Amino acid sequence: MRFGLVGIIAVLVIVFSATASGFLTLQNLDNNARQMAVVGILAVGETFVIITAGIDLSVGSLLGFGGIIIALGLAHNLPAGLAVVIVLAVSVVIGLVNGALISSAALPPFIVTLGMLGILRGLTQIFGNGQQVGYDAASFSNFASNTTLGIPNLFWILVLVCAASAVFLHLTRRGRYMYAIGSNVESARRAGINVNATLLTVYAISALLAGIAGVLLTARQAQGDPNAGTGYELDAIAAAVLGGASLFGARGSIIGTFLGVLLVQIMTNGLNLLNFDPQVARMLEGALLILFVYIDHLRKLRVAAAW
Amino acid sequence: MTVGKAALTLSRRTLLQTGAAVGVGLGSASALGLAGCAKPAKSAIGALRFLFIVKTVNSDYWQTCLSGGKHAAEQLGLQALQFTGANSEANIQAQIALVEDALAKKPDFIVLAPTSSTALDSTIEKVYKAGVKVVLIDSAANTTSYDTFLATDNHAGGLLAAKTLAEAIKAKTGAASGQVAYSTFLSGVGSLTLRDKGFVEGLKAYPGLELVAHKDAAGDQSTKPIGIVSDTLTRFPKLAGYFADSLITLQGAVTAFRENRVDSAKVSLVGFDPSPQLVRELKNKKIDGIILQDNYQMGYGGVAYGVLAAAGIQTPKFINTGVTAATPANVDSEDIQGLLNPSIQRRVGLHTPA
Amino acid sequence: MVSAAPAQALAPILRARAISKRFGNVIALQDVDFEAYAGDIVALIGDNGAGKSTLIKIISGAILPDSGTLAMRGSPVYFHNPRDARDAGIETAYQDLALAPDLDIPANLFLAREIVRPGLLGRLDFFDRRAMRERAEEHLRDFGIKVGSMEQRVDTLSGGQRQSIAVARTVFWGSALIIMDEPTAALGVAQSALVLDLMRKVRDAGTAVVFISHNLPQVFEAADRIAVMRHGRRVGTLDPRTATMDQAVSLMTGATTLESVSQPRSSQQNRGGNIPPS
Repeated sequence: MRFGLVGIIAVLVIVFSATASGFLTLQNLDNNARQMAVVGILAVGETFVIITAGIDLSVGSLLGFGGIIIALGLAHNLPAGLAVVIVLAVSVVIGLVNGALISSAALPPFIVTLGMLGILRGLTQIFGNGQQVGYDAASFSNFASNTTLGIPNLFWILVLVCAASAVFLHLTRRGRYMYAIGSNVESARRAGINVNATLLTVYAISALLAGIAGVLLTARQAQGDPNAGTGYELDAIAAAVLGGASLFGARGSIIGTFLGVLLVQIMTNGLNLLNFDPQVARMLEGALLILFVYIDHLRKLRVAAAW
Repeated sequence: MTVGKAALTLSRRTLLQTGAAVGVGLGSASALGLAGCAKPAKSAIGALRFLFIVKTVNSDYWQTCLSGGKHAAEQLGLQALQFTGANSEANIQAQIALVEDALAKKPDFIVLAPTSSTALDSTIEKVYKAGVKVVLIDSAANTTSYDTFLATDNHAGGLLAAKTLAEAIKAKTGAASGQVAYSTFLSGVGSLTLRDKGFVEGLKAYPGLELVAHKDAAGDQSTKPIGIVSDTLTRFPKLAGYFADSLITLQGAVTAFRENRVDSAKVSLVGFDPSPQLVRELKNKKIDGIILQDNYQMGYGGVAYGVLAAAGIQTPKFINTGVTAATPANVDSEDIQGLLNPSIQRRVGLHTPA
Repeated sequence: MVSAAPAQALAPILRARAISKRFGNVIALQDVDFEAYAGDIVALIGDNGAGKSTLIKIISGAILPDSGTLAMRGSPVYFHNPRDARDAGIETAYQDLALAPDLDIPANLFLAREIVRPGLLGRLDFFDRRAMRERAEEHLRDFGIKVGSMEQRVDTLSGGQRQSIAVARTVFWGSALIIMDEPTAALGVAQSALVLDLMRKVRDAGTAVVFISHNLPQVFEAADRIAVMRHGRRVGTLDPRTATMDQAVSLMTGATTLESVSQPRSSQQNRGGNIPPS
């Protein structure tokens, strides 16, 4: 499935290089790398959840919540490191609450995380008093605009998150249990897998990554915005599915999700550079998304028929 | 640099000056024929009962508006029954309940910033029919059952943005010419559409300026406002100027300019609505102009026109509260500081004419 | 088949005594005794509602009995959950195939018991893909289970192959007792033969097998003993070599009762002889 995606991306790159002025420039590469980081990190977290046949609708809200918390912390002169640790810890706790309600209380993930979406957005508005929260910590906000070895820091974080997640998901036993649960939760339980602990881990990871995304966005915007991340859960889910994850579970990979995010980013960027009317670009983006999934679907059918 | 339909523009300065002179803050009233009865009206004015209802009290924007209303009430010697608002701008039902409760208190007038342009219509009509004078502020309602509506003329704001951007480009490059682009926060929002139209119309006065792109952040408050500006900068590396029609898109543009290392000595940036961070960028000359609305004046004028209406005077249906461009050159002036910071404005009270 | 066994083989691996279970007013099991021996396939038959499933669930730790005792190799055991039973060496190869269909064969064989990499990586929870693959291949070869590629997802295998993998997994983990609940229910003739053959291989390897099936020809073909249940009671035991299917059916339906069942099992040679309920 990945080769299909790589092919589509290659075609887009060739088309845009030929038609969109400025597409093949270092500056544009830079922008794309920066641009995909936040949604990319969310999508990686979502991939873990989707592999267990779950869904996490709370990540966009959690991004906003984490972003406001760290902005408030910085505004109250907390050291940046401490503020980051607090946000990530709070995020993990929220993920554990999601996970506990889904595993132990056996509530549907859609409902639990939809509820959490509302709770967190409300909390964010209350904490931020409905306002953007500015802060004065140049070193923190500079991190988001700076580069290391010529590559934007934001992209480095995405790469690190992807690498760590891929190793965990594809090479460790706990990662494999996530696939087993998504494949058949009852057989996983009977085999002796601790399903509840695994689901707790999955939702905690998703939340942790949403928290990281919130911290990065707040750094990039140099302020916290209580509405940040609204609707981003859907972008994250779309990218993961585009990358081969199945909402029925047990399918998906980190590299696939990365390619899914990359595809959406390149498509948006290319259409912008072609200077389409924004509404036309929006329609095209939607249509292309369906088209790409369809192409991938056809290709999979062909592969299945070849068995 | 205040733009507006001159006759109907409520000038705070004249209002306050005359108000101070006659003991009641009704400067515009003289033009409207109230001056003669100002003195006997004083005690009557002091007895007027009113409510002041904004969309939500949990917002700096509305707090500024409320403080304008309180200032007017204080100067006019009025006691408000209530300064209030819902818990959130989205809570339409809560605001309807507030307005219905207001009617039960039998006030002489109410000042209202309707949360919805349709949902409050019947409630407003009920209040109006009960003989209570209605002054709407900030946002329109889809009814004619009101006395006066005070709001920003967003179209005028767009015109002003175009003018400010053209002047900044001219100052940097020697001529008001080159490529310009703009981004909107969300297509289909009335006030933003008016700003964008005004901007595009205002550009026509500068034949050297060519509008090459416009983008839509689609309501996103996260990365999209940045990305669309980045992509425009990539596509048009010789861009001379950029306009952002709202706080969010202006912030996005500032970030995109920073990330793309745009030389602000060459490229100009103008946008709507201030935040402390944006004002800092303005002072650092990363932004060339911020179009300011006068929500303080909406509050002040809301009460003042409520008093006029309650006194039986025919008030104009629409009052433009004015838009002003803050620039690096004028940002420290008392006038702009007053607009940016209502607590200063309140302390200053009477502005001296510029 | 199995040669004569030493005397201690006569002691059952598992002995259930006087098991009773009620669900509300319904008596699911009443004073049921049951034994399973190493190297022996005991079939458990009975009409729907006869109590087979309840008995199996109690043996595999899925539900607790109201009264009665379980003993493994003579020692009393108390199963509070399936994990306890599994730890004691009782595995169930379920009717609905307890496999993760999206994972490959080694992943399924080693599910929840993965081999970890040696050293630090192992301590970091990294599994050893190659070691598992090699051992899985070896194991399947031992049992004559043929699959195409080890890397294929289990849901691309045939029903018989999948059932075989499920059984192979339980054997692989050295279970003393394997419960096979309707292992051939969804299979065709050839695939069923494959599974029955595997069942015999497992028996020959010295494991006790409990075989639940509605398919009497298969029961008579594969089982060494046949335990018959009716209305929550164990109504008798048949020797498939001497008994007929008609006898089995009439016992199941209550048309006849079996009186001559008092001979204790004396040796492996007369395996399949009528065994008393106690």
